[in-house]
Amino acid sequence: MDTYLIFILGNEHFAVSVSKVLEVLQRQKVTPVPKTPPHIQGIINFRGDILPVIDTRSKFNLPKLNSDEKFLVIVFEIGSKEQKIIIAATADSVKDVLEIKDSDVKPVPELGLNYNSKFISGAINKDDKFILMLDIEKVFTNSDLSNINEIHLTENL
Amino acid sequence: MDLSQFRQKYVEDATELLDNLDNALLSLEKDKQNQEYSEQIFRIMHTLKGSGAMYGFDKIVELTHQLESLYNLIRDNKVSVSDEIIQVTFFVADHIRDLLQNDNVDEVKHLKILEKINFVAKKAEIEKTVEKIVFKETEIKNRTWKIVFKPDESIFERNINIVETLHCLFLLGKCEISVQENEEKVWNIILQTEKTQVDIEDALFFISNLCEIEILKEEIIEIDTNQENVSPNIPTSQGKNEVLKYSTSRIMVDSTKLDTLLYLVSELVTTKSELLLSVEKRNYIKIAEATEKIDNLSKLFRDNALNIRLISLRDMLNRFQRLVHDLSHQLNKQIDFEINGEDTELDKNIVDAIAEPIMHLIRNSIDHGIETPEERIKAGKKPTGIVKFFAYKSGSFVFIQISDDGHGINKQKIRQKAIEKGFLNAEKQLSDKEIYDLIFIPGFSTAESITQVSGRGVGMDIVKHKIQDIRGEISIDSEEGLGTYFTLKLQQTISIIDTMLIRSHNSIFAIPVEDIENCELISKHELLQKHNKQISYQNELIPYLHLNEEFQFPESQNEKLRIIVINKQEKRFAIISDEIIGEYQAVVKPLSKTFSEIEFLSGACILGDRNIALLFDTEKLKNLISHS
Repeated sequence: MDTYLIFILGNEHFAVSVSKVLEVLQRQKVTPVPKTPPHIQGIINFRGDILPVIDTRSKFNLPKLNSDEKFLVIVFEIGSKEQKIIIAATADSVKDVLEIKDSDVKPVPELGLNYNSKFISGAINKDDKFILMLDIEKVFTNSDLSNINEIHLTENL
Repeated sequence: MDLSQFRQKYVEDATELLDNLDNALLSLEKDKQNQEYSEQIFRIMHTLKGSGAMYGFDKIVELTHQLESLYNLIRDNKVSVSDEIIQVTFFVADHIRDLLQNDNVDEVKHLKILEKINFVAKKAEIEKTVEKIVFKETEIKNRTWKIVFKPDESIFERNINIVETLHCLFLLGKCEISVQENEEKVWNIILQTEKTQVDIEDALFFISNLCEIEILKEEIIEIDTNQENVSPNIPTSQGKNEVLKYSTSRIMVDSTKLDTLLYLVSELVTTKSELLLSVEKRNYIKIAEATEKIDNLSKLFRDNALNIRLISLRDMLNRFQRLVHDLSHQLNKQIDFEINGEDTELDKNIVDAIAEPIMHLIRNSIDHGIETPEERIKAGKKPTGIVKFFAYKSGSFVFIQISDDGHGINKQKIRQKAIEKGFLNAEKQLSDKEIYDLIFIPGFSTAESITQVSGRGVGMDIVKHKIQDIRGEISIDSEEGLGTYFTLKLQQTISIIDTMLIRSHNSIFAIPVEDIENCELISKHELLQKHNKQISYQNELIPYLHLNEEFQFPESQNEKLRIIVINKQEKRFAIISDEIIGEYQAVVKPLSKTFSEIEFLSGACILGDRNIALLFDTEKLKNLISHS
């Protein structure tokens, strides 16, 4: 039994363990950085540190939101005890916080998913709605992550 | 209590002791008769040995024990100091440094060094024709004490220097420390001394109420002084390597700076209560007053915090003394290393960052700059060359100059080489400065033969790169036959800089004020007519970078655009933006590595309204022009 945050991206519901979630930021302004790849939305000021924000829609091959559409930023803390990594990613909205039993999680068919299935560790059926269990560590590639480790080392003022 | 914490502390303390050792050795080398220096070296060995035994640095104990004996002979005037002794002590110092960092040190090397100490000691002894090498223990009319020492956990939290305290104990007489079997937290100390119990208690005074200490008198415990190994039974498991890899960095802070900090804290607390009270009473005048006071205080806090991070160049320079000494020996050159302005202060991060580049410059001066004594005499100079280190503060900058009185830079030779290597068109005329700048091109190295010392391919381009990383500048000046000057211009602190904020479309960028020469207006219409991407500025055509175009922002609504003229090391270019917002003192935050390929940004700053401005690295920004 573990507690999960359910968020929505496009038409899909995703679940991510709350133990990995540091904060959900509403109406957060993301500062774009010129000449960066499309899956990087920009940077935010999170408790005095500069964090990169990953554009989850672009990661999941979903069309970009229009500039007037609202989104929110979820700040994740991932990595090991020795090397914590803080990284932010976008989501359309947050739906719920649910307790999910391990036994309820079913494997997902590889076919029929239009995004990289290695991000998904399983699925559950809740009120006739399919919720995909997201393995958040796998969403961020090494090149997204190698970056962030240093934030706390360099910032010693 | 975690033994590894103590080990880490030992490594730090030992490293400091080794630096002191280097200095004492350098002084002793100049003045071999001076008892004070040899005494100091003896004491350092003694401390290293004593505390080394506690943490299982057996090899260090072996080495220091041998040297301690040797220096004891010097103390007793049975051996006189020779160059060989000094050299071997240097070897040992370096070897101990290796041992502190790495447990798996080359056994053969270790044995060789031990042998070498032995050899040097014997040789020195024979030269003095004195009796025996193994120093004789003073008659055992000394009493022997057994001290059982159980430190309390709090001792570490309170930052009490346990090594220093035990050192006091060692000074009383002959001392051995071992860890009680099966009980890491208890140390047995066996002390042989003429002193009384009161003296021992005095030595342990500072820690006596933090530890359990039992002092027992034992009649017949004899310490076998001939046995080389003092081997305590410290379990060596405990993941030694991990302990050593974890390095903390500490700063020594002048206590007056801390007093200021404390004063500021007390002011802040009072002002805060004033503010709370005024808010309760809705006294807006008082609220405004208190807010202003807090504003002032925050500036003072900032200055104080930055001030605490400033450290003098002295420690770094001590290391260079040693380098110059070793190098001049290695290269058979006679060198005086003159230092001026070692009390100049810089942010710790900057000092850490410049140590290596400066070392490289000094190496260069000795290796390529200064001639051999013979050459110097031929040129009509004194046989001893001079390498000068000169540091001074000017405004918010610190200048460091490294100069030598060697043969200077041969401009013709540099030019020739640059042409050969294809860096330079043979026809092109260059100013002196431009010729010297060729030295910073990657892959350019002028040494005729690659020596062991410098010229290993990592050259001046790396030096320049490292200096630029901390937003510094480097320049060369030279006069043939007379010498070469390297000048570094550094920020005193990197964290806060004066910037100018500009806006392009919806993005705000910060430009270091020092890089800006001028700001002008230009109409959109006028800009459209510039097909060669250059604008005229003070009778000169300079290239420009139109931010909206470069970053694919939509075209500006403004009729007039802003030109910001950048002048970086006498090279000009212009940035074109929509608007100039104003000056801003920015706290620079690093961008994470995700953005490491975005070279033209050197960081980000958080603005008063919590928005983020991106800080330009103007030098790299200029590269965008040549690419587009």
